[in-house]
Amino acid sequence: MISSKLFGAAMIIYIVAALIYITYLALKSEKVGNLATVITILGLCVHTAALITRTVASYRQGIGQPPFANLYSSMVFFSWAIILTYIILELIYKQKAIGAFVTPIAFILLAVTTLLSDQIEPLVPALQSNWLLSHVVTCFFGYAAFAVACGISIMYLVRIHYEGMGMGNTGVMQILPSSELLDELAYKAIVIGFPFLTIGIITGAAWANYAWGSYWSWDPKETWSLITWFVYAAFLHARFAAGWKGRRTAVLSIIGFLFVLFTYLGVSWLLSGLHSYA
Amino acid sequence: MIKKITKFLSSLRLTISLLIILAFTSIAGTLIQQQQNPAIYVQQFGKPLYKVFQALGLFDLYHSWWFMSLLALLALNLLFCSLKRLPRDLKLIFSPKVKLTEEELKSFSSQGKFSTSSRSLDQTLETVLDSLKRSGFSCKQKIKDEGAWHIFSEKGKFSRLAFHVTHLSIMLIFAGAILGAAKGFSGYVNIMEGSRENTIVLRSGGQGSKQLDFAVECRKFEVTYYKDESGNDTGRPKDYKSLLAIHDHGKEVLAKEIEVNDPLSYEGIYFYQSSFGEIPQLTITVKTPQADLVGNFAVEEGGSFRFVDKDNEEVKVRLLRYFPDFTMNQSGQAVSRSNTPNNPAAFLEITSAHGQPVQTWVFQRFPDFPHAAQTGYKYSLTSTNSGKKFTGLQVVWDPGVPLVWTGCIILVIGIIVIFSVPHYRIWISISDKGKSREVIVAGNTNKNKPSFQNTFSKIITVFKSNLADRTK
Repeated sequence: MISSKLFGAAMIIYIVAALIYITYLALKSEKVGNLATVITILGLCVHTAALITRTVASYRQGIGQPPFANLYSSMVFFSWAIILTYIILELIYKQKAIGAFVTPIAFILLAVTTLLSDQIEPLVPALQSNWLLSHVVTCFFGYAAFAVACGISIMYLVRIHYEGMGMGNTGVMQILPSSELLDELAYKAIVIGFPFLTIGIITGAAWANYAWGSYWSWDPKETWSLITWFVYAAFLHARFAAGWKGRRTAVLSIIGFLFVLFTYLGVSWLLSGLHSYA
Repeated sequence: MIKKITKFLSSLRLTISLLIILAFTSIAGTLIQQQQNPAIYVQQFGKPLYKVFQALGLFDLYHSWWFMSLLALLALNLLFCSLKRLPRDLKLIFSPKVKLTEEELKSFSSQGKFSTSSRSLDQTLETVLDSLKRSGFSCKQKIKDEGAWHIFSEKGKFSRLAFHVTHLSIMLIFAGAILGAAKGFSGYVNIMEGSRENTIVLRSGGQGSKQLDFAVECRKFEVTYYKDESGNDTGRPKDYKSLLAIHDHGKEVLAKEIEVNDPLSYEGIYFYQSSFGEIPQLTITVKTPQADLVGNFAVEEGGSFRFVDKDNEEVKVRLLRYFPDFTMNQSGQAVSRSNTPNNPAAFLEITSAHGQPVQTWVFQRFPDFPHAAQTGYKYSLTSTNSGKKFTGLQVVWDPGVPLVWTGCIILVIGIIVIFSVPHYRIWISISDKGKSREVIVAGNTNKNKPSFQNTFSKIITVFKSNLADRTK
């Protein structure tokens, strides 16, 4: 399929962007940083074109829905949402160093999809619903924001590790955002992700109620998304109300993303339930 | 004592602990399959472990007393947190402090000081109000006290309520869930195409049944399958639809075609398309030992027919089982490989006037397969029609659903407001300092400091240029 070739192209562009971001960290050259941003945006454009092509192909096949019903589809979308979220954050906060941590994630996700079947499969009747689009899009924007937050939290831990050794202002550390800013950015990303996850869970519940007459049935995927919600709700209470900062919230943010990954991949692979098709 | 309990119930530490505990206990319920047959658990875990898990409620964890208690504790926690904060927030919204002392104003991290000698006190007030307006703020209250003006301005004060609204929304969702579980019902019914039913089989609370006040008719049922490249049905259903009609007191009141993701509702009761099936219609041909036709009899699984034999005595034939795709499994039992009639087989019981009932197999593909035809009559399976279709409906009445959705919508709005709408407050005092008038501007926010600092510095710029003495 044409779309698969475009996804492949986006994948290569992201690894190139990642290398340029790393060069930027090493050389601390503003020009190299700008080049990295331009290349990433180019990758995002190709990636967007691929998603559009695949959607058109899905409609041509008479499926009548954007293709969102298998692991391949969700992973290429997840990767796209991560890059989009990152680019928006970069343009707002002018912090390019984070790109070196985020573009490789998008690359790895696309690399994994090359091992999967890119077929657009016909949808079982339960999936033929307008809720599909809103449910998948909101969930994955939530996941993407949490992925970015996790990347930033890892950077934070690396940074304070070096600061602890009195090397906060040497080498690569010079160009990394300050630990305060990293802490703030990770929090911001989670503040963006949390409403998306909430809406994702609610649209899922509304859809289940419409299709099966039950908005909540403690299916493993449902339960794990709620568990993830509990973890980030705890993070936000700790940070916003109890004033936790620094290492503790960074660790919570990383744990939270591990829960996201399990909700997304672990549940489908290891546990059975209503989402077995996704 | 009561004070201690209230303090515990309204503590943030409890909130964070409960969220973490709920997260980790919920995991257990996804690792152990819930609500299975006890026999499966005994096989899986062994008797002793089964008993321990059973006592802990791990097999129906999300409905166990301790999980429910955790949720109840969370609800109490939300309630007490809100009650603790509500008086303070209401005061901030409805009776803000307008007059701050000079010391208080100077203690703010965001502040500015100006002086003007070319304006009187009231002229200065006018300039200040105009500057506020140009900065996008408006004077909410002003008082004159001891020859000085005190001005108060704010934005986004109602965002202070978002905290309470969000917590209330979660309690609404809980209330909806409790109402649904206590008052609602959920069950299923299979309706043959062309017939009507008014009794459903309940799912929960013991396998009871429930009589509805009206009847549901399945007027038509249709299923379409995805086709492969050569245009043959793949057996993967694309769509299934039932044309339903509601008959209330003998009158048809409503008709609708339903499909998955498009239910019918009547008097708050929803009918969801959930499954379908068909009861195959078989034709059994009976011949005399001389191969004369006795008759072709239509019959379905579980049904029977009768004929009169040569001695004028009645013979009864019952169709015990039907296998559309007959095969033997490893333990030698008859099973059906699929629902496609690849090798149709019927298991018959023949009872004549004399002697014991005789059981025998007949195969459509192998009419000469020897069977226990003690009567001398020859039975054969001559046709299998797809027969009568039935639609499987899920029937639900959940009066808690509107509460749950209201709660969900408020929850989303609340979360967004909590994190993105700040409450900006600005206090200004204008006082006489000898020949000149001194203006102090101070402000704060309850969230998003950087963005407030930005706004505040813009305000300061406007004030500076507006208050500059024209003579200078």
